[in-house]
Amino acid sequence: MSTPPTQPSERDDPLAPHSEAERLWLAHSAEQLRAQRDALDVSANWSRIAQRLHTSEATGSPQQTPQPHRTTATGLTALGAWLSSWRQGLAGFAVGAAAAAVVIAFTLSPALHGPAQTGTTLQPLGQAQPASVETVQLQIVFRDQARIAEVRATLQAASASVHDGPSRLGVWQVEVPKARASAALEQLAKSAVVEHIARQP
Amino acid sequence: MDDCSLLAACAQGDTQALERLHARHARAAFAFALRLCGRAQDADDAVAEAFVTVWQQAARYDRRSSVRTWLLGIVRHKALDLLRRREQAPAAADEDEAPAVETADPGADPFVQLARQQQVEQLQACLNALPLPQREALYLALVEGLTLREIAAIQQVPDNTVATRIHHAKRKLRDCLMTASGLKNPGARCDSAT
Repeated sequence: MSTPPTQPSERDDPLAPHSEAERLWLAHSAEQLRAQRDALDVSANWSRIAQRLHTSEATGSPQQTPQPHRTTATGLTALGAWLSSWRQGLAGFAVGAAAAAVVIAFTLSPALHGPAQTGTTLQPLGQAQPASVETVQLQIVFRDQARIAEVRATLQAASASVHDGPSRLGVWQVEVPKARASAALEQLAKSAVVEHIARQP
Repeated sequence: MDDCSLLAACAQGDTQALERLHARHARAAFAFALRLCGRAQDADDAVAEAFVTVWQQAARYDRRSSVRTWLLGIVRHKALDLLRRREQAPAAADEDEAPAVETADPGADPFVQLARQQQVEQLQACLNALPLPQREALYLALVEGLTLREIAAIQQVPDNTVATRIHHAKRKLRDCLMTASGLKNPGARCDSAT
């Protein structure tokens, strides 16, 4: 009767082969199992994920919990199994596109926004600063491949708002509360979508 | 960029970083999910849902384990959710094992014969026949090369339990493959199937 290890430590390896033949068998088995990885269509799988992220962005919350892919109700399990993933993905995309249209309509509607700041050519992407808060201006250049949702999330996270820009060279003027200027500068400098940032001279 | 940096970028809203993480780890995640779910479509679903969760929880990654280990834990959670929805409860690990089966030809090294003869379909069938906790632990150790501690963190059990699971799983897998490959007399006394 084989006895299982009683007090295995990190160094005890229950997979440790007792012979070279066993080592070869384990390696062969591992290789056969790894070959199954190729059965995944990576592009198709990513497309499904990207659709879910797009739907979350369109509703204004990148961190929003996505809709469940399948129903959890026992009585609807068969229905859920019948619905193929592409049908659900298509339905999700349609909902996302409709939500995006609503968000864009609200964003562009001047009736829903306060008076534009003097010299501002774009709707603020970040957090608008109250008039009483003293601010510091920063110059920031975003990476070419940065998306609007990423820029918005980055600015909001740093309590920053767009004051002006972009210039012909792609420089934005953003404002942050003076009390957290250093922290915001450091935070924005670490962002993957920021190429360059500095205090406005 | 290493995995930690990509995950940090995800936390900042960089979807390209998530795509790069996906390109690196999706196949491994799929193969692991397939071991748990048994169906390619379910495994595909589990991987997609897991990466959406990675996106949502990137900021919560605490570097206590590697990114892959953290990801496999999420994949496990999603795969088990799918199994529950299919009303297939994971089989409990049988920690009290019956005596080992004797081989038909005790003189021959069974591993030499197995390495030559075992087919991937037989391997999959025998792996799927293992209780889920044992199957999972063996797979993570054998294919992903995770340590006992890492597997214990994913399965949320003590290190000792993982070691026991792997020990029994390896032995059962060997015996099952030997029977499937015709290297053992199937009439010999067998371990329980669960």
